[in-house]
Amino acid sequence: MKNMKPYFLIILALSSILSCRGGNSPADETCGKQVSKGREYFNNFYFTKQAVYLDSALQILKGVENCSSKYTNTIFMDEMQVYFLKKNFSSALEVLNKVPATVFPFPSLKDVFENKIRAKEAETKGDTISQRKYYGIIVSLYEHYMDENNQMFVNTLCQSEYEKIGNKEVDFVVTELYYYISKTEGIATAINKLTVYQKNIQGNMQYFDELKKNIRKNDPDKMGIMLY
Amino acid sequence: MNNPVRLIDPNGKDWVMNNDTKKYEWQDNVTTKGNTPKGYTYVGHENNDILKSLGVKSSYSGGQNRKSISLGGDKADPAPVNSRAGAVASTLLPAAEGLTKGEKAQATILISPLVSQGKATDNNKSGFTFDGVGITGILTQPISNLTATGGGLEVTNGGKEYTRGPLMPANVNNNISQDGYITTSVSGRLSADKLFPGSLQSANISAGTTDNGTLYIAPVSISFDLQDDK
Repeated sequence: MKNMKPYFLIILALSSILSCRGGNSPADETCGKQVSKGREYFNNFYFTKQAVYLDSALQILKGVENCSSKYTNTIFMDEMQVYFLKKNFSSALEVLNKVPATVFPFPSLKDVFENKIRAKEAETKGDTISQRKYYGIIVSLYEHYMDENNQMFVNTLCQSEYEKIGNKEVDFVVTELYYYISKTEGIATAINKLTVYQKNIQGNMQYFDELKKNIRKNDPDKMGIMLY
Repeated sequence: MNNPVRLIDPNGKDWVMNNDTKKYEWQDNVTTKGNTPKGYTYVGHENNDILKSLGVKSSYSGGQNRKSISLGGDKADPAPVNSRAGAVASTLLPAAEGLTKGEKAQATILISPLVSQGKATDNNKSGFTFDGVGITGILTQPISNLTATGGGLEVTNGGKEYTRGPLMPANVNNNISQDGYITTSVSGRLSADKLFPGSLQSANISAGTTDNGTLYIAPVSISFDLQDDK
């Protein structure tokens, strides 16, 4: 037993190095492959609209839920999307609640997802009043985040090069916010608010014009709106 | 425009559409709208004039900013930032950078008339026949772990959806592609008997990523209203 100590220390040291470098254990790799496979089925559903792909994706994801802590949150988020598309909103909320708010880029983004699910559930029931209420909460959450990070938004949106704004984190939030304003207050109001905001901060005209165009077209796919 | 000779088709032989059957026919004796027989609508002498009659263009292009949320890892300490009210807030500013990876997908739809030379008749000595339209969907995107694959092309014609997929690496010379980008495409055809003015309504190119390193990523889904903006 005494001779085993150095080997044990070497193994311990190697595993520490691997974990420091974010190395994958065999369990991680197996789990990662299954997550990718689940996403392939998921994509097939988006393309074919055949519900059988959602069932396949769910089966695969459920099978690896406890496989690797590295992918636990990804799996729950994927399951949440599958349940959302299957219109099983209570299960979607249940798995979302298993994901800690701290893994999101900002904690209230989890609340955004929750309200998107609730809004869709209300829409499915034909309850447009509740749907608008949840959309309103989403608007408040994004506005609050923008308010707290005002300088970051102003600095980014005022850059003269469009490429430095489009598809960055600021664009992500601004696009989602004004999409949901268009849902709660109408497209015309959202456009007007964008015009006022652009003038106030002297924001990049090309960026704001492009966003207004997309809001007018009311095409959430093109805008990359999450889970609408 | 002041020269009326320019408006004359010297050789005749133009496309017309049978108003009852909505079929496109080539007639050697038609030269203008004026000598188009009763029961027919003048289309034009170019094959692409059939596309105009169908209400579509030969190409469409559009893009989509892809939004994603990176898988949370070790986060930097929250950076204090000033709020609009001037107070110091402690929002997780550095972590917000995990919101998107800056991917943009570009899609193109190409529509071309398919014309063959079949059986000759007295009024169509070359036997020109309109067989339908070929439709190609092309998706160009940056090469990265978020590159979207699979998916395909969906076309709505006459209220019915037609799909072709998956998107495959395009048979194009890579030299014409921008470095760091990949082009995938898929093609299909719709036969003439399914086409009539206004029938081609929309097209959509979709694809998705199988990357397991994101918490959420919106799939590529770029739609075109084919009857819009003629």
